[in-house]
Amino acid sequence: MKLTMNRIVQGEDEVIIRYREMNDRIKAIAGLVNGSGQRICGVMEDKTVLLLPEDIFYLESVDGTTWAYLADQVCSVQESLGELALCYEGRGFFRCAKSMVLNIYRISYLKSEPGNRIRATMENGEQVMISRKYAKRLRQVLKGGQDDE
Amino acid sequence: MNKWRRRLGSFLKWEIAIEYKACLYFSCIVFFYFVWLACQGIYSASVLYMVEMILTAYFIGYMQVYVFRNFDEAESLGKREWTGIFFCACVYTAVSWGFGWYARSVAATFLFLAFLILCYFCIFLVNKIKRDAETEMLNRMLAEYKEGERDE
Repeated sequence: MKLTMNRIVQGEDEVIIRYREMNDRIKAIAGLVNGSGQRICGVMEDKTVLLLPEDIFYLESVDGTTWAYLADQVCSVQESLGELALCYEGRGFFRCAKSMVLNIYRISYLKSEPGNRIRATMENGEQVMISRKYAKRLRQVLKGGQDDE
Repeated sequence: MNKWRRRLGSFLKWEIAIEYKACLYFSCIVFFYFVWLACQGIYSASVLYMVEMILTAYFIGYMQVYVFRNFDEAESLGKREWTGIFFCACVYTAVSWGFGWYARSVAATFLFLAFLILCYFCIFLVNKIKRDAETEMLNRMLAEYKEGERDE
């Protein structure tokens, strides 16, 4: 595979992949560029596990510990809620409460509730109530707009 | 400081909701009052009655929010919501009788009671339809958000 690199002085860093056929190697390079290769280190029943961000349904902070909820498992992670929300914002992680971050890609249904709140039903059937303040931000995120904070 | 700011924010949120309700129900009551006057061939209204109406609407707005848990914005109408509707409609009717808004006409007072129950039901329906429309829009936006990621 031929590698060509050009240094630019203006504009955003950009990686262009030119390929004939999509294969695992190309996918791995693309994954590395868009960050999908990143994994979150977690602890489940005293075992260290590497979690794919897309497997996480939501994150919750309880007594200073961050918990990652998967489809039917829970594990603790080292990073704080704020760090994870910021780091994986572009991959659907959304701060839905002071102590909770949702993965938008794992929401199966949204329901408008009285008082401008939103009830999110996750793919595993769990329901999360999003308060008026965060519901406003969720609407902006879904519209593709930036946060106003 | 943050705690006080949060409390103030929460208080203001409910105050605004009550103001909104007071204005909404006042406009319903005043409409009925104007129609009743027009039917009598009277084309001028009492400002004093209107002041009484808005103050009553404020008072009942507080009851709706703090006692009956905002029944006009409920998800469905159960026993508690219907109790709230009948109770608040009866309080309005009693006040209208007490202040003589409809010259203590029994027919007008009963019509007013029925009109209020209808208003409550319609406002409940409007709120529900509004939320259903927003639910549909939210899920469309969610699907588009997910699609957008796949396209990238």
